[in-house]
Amino acid sequence: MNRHKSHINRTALTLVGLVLLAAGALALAKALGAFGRRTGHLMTPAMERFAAQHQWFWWAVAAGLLVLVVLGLSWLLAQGGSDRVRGGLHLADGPDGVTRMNAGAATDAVTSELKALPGVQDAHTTLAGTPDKPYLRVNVTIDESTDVASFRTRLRNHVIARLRTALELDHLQSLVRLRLANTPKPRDLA
Amino acid sequence: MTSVPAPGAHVSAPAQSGAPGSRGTRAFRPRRMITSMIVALLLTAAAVLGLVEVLSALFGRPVNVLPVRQGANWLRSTPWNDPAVITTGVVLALLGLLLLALALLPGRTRMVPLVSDDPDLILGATPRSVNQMLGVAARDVSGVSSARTRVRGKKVRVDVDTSVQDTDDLRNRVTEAVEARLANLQPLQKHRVKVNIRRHGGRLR
Repeated sequence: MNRHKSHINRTALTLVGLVLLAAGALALAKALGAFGRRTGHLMTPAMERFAAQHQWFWWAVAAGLLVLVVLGLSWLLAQGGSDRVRGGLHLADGPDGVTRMNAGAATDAVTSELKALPGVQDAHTTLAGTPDKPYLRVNVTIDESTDVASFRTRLRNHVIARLRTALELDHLQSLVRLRLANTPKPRDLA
Repeated sequence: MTSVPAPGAHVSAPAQSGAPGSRGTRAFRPRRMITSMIVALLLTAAAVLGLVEVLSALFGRPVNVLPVRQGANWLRSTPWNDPAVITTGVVLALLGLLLLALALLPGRTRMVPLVSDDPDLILGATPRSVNQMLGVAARDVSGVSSARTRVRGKKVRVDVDTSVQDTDDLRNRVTEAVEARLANLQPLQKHRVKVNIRRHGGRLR
């Protein structure tokens, strides 16, 4: 479902974490004499000579840094933006051709059906994911005495089932978040 | 032709969305966006500075946005067993461990996952909402003057103020009411209800 960002972030954090841990551990090992001689300086004249005499070394460093810039920027950009489907959905490549439907029309229908359910004060619906494999994301505001069990049944058997039929989908994943009117909105999962 | 399960074979039930560790719970777990943004920003900024420095030097016009000369001098004069090197190593390693922990530990869910009876449907309620709904259930019991509920993990604690004499009976009725509300909400996790009763305003004898 919407765990794409989570995957990217966890993978990237794991990599950065491993690099930092390895660098720190190696520096410590060297400092504490694990590799023999302890008295050498961090930068030896031999290293300086090598860097000074080989221009390609600095080009290689620049290339490495460029790769890091690109990786860092794309990681940063991956945080922003929503995966909301805005335009048309194109679904079911069946014998009658491709089913097309406007995402806004689909979510408006779901929203008004939800608002008509007993105990529901407000609802916000978005279709997210990709145009050919959308999923439904719903935030519902309910009364404190709402019968949640019957809400659940109607949500599943009527609202979502109807949308699924309209979209001609066998499966439609849905993420539904409930809250009471006087409580804070569910935080977007940071 | 459908295969017939061998006698005694365990027919697997449809996966309950949100059994601990399943998609239901996972959908509500944090995505580590704040940490990621900070680390990504620092990484990008450092790489940009370094790149500008190296490229400008390669083209013969070093911009010196970084203290290159001082840095080189420090590297030249610092032995590996310098305390500063050891400290840096420890800090780097700890930072790495911290990031690994943030990446690999699942994190707390920000919603209370509810049973949905449909693997395609993930349903949850905010913790505050669950708490308030249980509180309303407790306050609706006759004899309860006021009630406060607290949901902590698998425990629901209800503090009730009352003036009635028969606190055992009240305790049973409050427990029943809160349990009934829980049964209506159906959180994935089973909760245990504990009711504490405080009497006030009773006639003194």
